[in-house]
Amino acid sequence: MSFNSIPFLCFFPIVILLYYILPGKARRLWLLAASYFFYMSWNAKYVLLILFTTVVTYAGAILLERAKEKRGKRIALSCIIVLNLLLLLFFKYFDFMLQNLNFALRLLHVQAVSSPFSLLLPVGISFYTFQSLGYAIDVYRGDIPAEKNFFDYALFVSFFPQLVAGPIERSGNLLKQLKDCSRKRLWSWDSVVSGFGLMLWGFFMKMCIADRLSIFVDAVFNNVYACGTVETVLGAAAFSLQIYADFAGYSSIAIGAARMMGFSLMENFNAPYFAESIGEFWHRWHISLSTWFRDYVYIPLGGNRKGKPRQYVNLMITFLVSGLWHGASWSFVFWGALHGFYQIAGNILKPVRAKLTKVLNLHEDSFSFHFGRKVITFVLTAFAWIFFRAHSMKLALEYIRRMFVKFNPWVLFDQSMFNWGPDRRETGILFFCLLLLLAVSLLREYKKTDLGEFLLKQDLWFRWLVFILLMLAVLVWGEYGLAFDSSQFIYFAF
Amino acid sequence: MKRFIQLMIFILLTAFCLGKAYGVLSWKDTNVSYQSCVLQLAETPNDSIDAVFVGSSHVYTGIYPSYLWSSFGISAFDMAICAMDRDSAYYSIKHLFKTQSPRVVMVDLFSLTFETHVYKEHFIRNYLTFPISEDTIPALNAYAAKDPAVSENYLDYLTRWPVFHTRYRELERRDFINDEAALAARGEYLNWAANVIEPITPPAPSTSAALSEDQLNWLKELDALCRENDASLVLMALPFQSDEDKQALIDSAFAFAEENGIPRLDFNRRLDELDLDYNEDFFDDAHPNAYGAKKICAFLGNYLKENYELADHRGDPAYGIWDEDLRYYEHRRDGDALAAASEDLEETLAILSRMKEVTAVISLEGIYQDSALYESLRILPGISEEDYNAGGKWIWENGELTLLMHNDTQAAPYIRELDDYVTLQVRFTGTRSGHGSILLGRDDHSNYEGQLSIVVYDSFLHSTLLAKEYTIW
Repeated sequence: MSFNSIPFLCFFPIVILLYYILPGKARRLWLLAASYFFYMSWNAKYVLLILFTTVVTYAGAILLERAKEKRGKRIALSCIIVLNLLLLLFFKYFDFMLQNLNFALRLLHVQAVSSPFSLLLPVGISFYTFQSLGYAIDVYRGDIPAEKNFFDYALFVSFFPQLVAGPIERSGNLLKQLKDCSRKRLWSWDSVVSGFGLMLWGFFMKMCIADRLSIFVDAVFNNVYACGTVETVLGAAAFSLQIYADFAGYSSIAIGAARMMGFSLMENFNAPYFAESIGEFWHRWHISLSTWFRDYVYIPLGGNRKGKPRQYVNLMITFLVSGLWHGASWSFVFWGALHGFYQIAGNILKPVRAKLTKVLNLHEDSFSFHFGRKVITFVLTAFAWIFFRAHSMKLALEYIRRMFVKFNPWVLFDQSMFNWGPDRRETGILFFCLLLLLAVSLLREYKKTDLGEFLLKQDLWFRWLVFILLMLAVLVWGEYGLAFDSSQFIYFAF
Repeated sequence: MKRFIQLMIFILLTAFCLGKAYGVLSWKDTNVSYQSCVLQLAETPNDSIDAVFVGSSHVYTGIYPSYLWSSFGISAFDMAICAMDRDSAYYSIKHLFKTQSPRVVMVDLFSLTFETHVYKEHFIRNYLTFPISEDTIPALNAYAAKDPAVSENYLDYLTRWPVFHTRYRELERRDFINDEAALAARGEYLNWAANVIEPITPPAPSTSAALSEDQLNWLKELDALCRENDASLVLMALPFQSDEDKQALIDSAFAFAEENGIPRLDFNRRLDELDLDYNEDFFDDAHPNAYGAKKICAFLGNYLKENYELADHRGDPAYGIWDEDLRYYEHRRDGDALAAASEDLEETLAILSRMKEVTAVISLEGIYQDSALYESLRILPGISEEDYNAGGKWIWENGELTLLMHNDTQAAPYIRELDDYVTLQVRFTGTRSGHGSILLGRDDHSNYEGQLSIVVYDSFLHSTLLAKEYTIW
């Protein structure tokens, strides 16, 4: 049951309506039941996995808290981490490890091993595993007490708005709110209105922008050998926007849905393509994950406290793990490594850049300077996304090769770009939607507010107009359902 | 309370906007001419239909209610959808019974031969053109039980938006406005194109094909439905080039009809009585054209009069929509004749002279005076030889030709709203320059090459029937 499906559009109003109607204590149980139902709608069997993670981290955290000595706490935490990572490794990385093993065996002229399992990646396993691990580490550090109520904790792990794609919540934020929801009246009319607006915007980003861009992106990446410079450059830029609209759209729906029930989830995207450096990009992109890595990997490794060389090693380790977290493939690992490299190189070259700024007489407070930095950061991230999207290193390298050796500017003028999926009309709609995205991103950047909160402060007529227009845009322009084309209806013999 | 009222107003406003959008996006074609018998039925006064014909393209190409009306005064209706299957036929009749009480329901058995929904587009035509009602779910269930593609996308079809919404790519004027003339039509597909076909030779009678349980149940359910609604069911097979398998099924259905006292009419076995001309009366070997439909309707009209004593409603204002249907038919017929004759100037002018409910612009520019054109144009009364020699623009309306202007760039342009959608602009922009001399909306029909230009617009059909230049020399 993905957010942009008819079942979710039936499920969510029922959940929210009963949530408001039910008395205090029943609310949490209702949310828990709804969350498990939501998760089981993907694949009922995998409920055992989330239950396993929940039980292990719940019981482990209590044991950890009860342990009097540091050693006991460490053992308990290690057990929690190992058990959870084993589960994640098995379901997400088993095939990847096997592929690499077989590659090594082939080099040694040994017969390859075939997979004894047919594994389907359980939805959201990377997200809820990290959320649970974050909780266990917080308990270990003494930042929060271990949760004693199993059902409350199970709800924290499975809370449906952010279960399958984040934001990866912190126990200090979400668990407390979930526990309070039966005592306090968290809900307010304003939160419903603002959450609704944010959800609509999320649907718009996902269905009107991301899914429309994907038509062009898929055409380019699936036909790399037919592409020249123009197609590959535009394909990389389009994928950068697609993945942003897709992921940020999904996060908006999740945050909006939670907000409609009175819960405040952490911000996950903050106009990332307005970043002026790769470091800043990671402060704005998938914030819940990047802060998770910062707090639970980078800082425990020593962060920047042990000198520059060690800082760079820590950075690289963090980004390699981050790459692997995103997908079981070397291209994801390389994508992570590239981002690590960008940051290290940026750090090392800082004095050179400062000197260059002086030599070229660039004004650091001018619009052009900041705009230039934004463009350079976008180009670097877009280049890295090629490895993310290409699925294999071989394809990614071919893609980049063609970007530089197949110069074909004429395709911008001979209409042939319209053969790559979106026709003139669809391209027009896409640009209109991207303009709206830019406007809302500017709102985020300069007014420091999301669309839901912004609309809340506007007059009723304007708010309703935006709501209705967004709904119509999603319902009409959204990429969903069965493609209908009456040209299919050409039935010459009647 | 204030918030609650706000919420209610917002919900109503949203529902209104979505409803309007749904109306624009919904699919409105049941007979490949962008017309919907379902919408036409909605325009029909309650309890005014006496005879209804149900079936596929065989019905809407073979039976023109306008003929039955003009010749017999029978208020008839084609509840016919392209490739209508059994489920669609059943639910069409059920839908019709909600507002109508026909005396006779004649079902074409070609629907019986559709075992599954062969093409997605047929299913969409058959199911998605029906308004949402209490029958929607049973109808969809019936389709889903037979077609895995339907059951896999059950929710999409049930809610309809996921199927319709991409129609924004192909919207036309007729999606936004009601074409009143087309809505007055009674389900028929008007077509005058004729092709020569092989004579229809139906296979020898056979009852060897056993009807499936589904097929048998369908026949029983149709019979029960008609009995419940006090209508007489007649099973028929309109003329088409059948094969042995189809004919065996149809024969078995007729055998069932005989056993159960249901009247039957097999046109394939009564071709001699129809006197069909295989050179003139068919569009293809399964579909009669307007000339063939006329013969079939003559036979059907007599059959209905003899067996059901249907009243002659001509002249009754309550049945005015059938007069409108006839008017629609006549406009389409004249438009078709005009287009067909357009290469022959004399014939074109002769047809135009008989057309009263159109607006025509006649434009003369350049050198043509020594030709015999004046004699030809005199069929449209109102043009003087002096004006003819001077050249200019005339308008033909209600049987009169009126001079609008001579070819003078100083002459005031003639501008008129022809209907809600099209504005006519006539002016002289300079000798042989042409551009923008005769504009229908944004369509330029000026004299470019020819000395004579004729533009005919039908405000009833909202369409340009003819826009042609004639080179005199």
